[in-house]
Amino acid sequence: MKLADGLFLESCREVAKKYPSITYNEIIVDNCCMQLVAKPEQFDVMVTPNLYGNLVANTAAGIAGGTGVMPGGNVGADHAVFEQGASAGNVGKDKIVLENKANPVALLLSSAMMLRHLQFPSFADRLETAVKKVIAEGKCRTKDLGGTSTTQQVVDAVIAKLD
Amino acid sequence: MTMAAFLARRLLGNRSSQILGTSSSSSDAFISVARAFSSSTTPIKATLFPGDGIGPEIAESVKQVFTAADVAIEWDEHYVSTEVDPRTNSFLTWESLQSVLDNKVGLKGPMATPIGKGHRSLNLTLRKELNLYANVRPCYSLPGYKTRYDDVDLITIRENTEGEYSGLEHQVVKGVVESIKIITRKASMRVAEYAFLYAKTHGRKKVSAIHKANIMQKTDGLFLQCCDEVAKKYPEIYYEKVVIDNCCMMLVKNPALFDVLVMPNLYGDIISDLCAGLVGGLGLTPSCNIGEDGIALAEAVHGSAPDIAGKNLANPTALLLSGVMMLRHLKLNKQAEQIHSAIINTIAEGKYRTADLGGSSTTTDFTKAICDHL
Repeated sequence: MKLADGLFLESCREVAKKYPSITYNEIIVDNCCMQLVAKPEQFDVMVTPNLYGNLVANTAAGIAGGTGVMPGGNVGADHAVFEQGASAGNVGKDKIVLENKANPVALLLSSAMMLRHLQFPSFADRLETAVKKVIAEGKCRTKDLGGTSTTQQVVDAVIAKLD
Repeated sequence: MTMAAFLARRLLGNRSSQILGTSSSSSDAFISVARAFSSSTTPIKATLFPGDGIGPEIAESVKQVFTAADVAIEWDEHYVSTEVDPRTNSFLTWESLQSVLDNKVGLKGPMATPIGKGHRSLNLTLRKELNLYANVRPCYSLPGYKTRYDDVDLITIRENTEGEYSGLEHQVVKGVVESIKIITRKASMRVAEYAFLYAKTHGRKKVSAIHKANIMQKTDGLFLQCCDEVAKKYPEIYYEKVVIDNCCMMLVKNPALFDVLVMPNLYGDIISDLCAGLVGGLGLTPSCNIGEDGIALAEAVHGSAPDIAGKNLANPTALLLSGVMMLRHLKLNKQAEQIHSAIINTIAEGKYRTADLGGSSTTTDFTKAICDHL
């Protein structure tokens, strides 16, 4: 899509010139998805137009562990709203709420992003560290990460790990 | 199809569908393949485009393996010329295109479109002139070549003529550009029919239509409607609709969830490459383009690798597997299976592997190993 994506690339190139210390490269989206599944470590920050971003974010989320753990945020000129990074296929299913198996990690990490945005880095760090410790320990995990804990148990564990 | 019907079709040719009273119009794609006078001794003519770079070497591999397997195919070779043919406005001559239209089946190696203006790209030429509407890519884990995913066994079927790639873009004002996505009932029905027919004839259980109809309600909505309609005709096949972002996530988490995927153009482009990445990249991926009137052009989708051209290092697997797809389209299933097993076993054995698979064999050694495994 020479004109549309072409314009997007031109804009990125213009901005990249202002940050010479940051490496900038371009990659076609189909090649990108292929590289992501083969060697995701080659990517750092990825900026995309709308549709491709949706696909790439979900692909990356799948590689990193799923919708239950990926944080995200939406940023505008005046406001910012933080929410899970990848679309949750289970939106609107009340039955699942009753099962109490939802993974709170994604939203907890998103709120850490919000704290960072509000310039409270120490709070953000404490929250993130606690969450990461709980996951690393492996004792308290919800179903999507292969465990049997409930949402509340994971939250309690995070609180316990906060220092 | 029963054995009797199959033999009758081979002997009676195109009229067999009326005689036997079998099949719907949608299997015209396969009917025309029943060569009118082909018995097991008359070879079938197939066009071969060896292509550029490593193309001629891997095409040679294919010819050797096919000969070793006694495949009754007579190759009609065509090369990309060095001048633009005014009749086609491309480097592919009118004769080349006519050859595929006549033979109805072909195999294409990698072609590097020459840089320059005023002529169509080679792939675009082939697609438009041969009306290739579906791009079919099977992706399965190759035993012996380890990737993060072991249990991939799916086929992506991509609509190849319209969608986001209709080429309709314009600048509204400076800094604002519009790109038009076209979805037609005709093209969507055509690819959906092919997908379900493919699923049925290859014994697949499930067809998933990939879309973003929650946002693009009219375009992807129409595509889905067409898939819904075709699905009703195949009650034995499980049909589901999956939103593209969920699909991406599911593919990287658990590719075994998918069987046959059918998608519009852009999603198909992305998903088919993603799936190729799951099993080891484009160097191992076969593909086949289906056109109207039963035309099938199998092709290796990797590049022409000019840096290793002529050095006997290239991996012919993708072109060989594409050749297998071509044989299956021609219903030469026994030999297709023979060659396919030989390839899989050679790679699984691990003794003969080309450099890209981590080995040190030459193209000719690898080819010979496959012939020995037949």
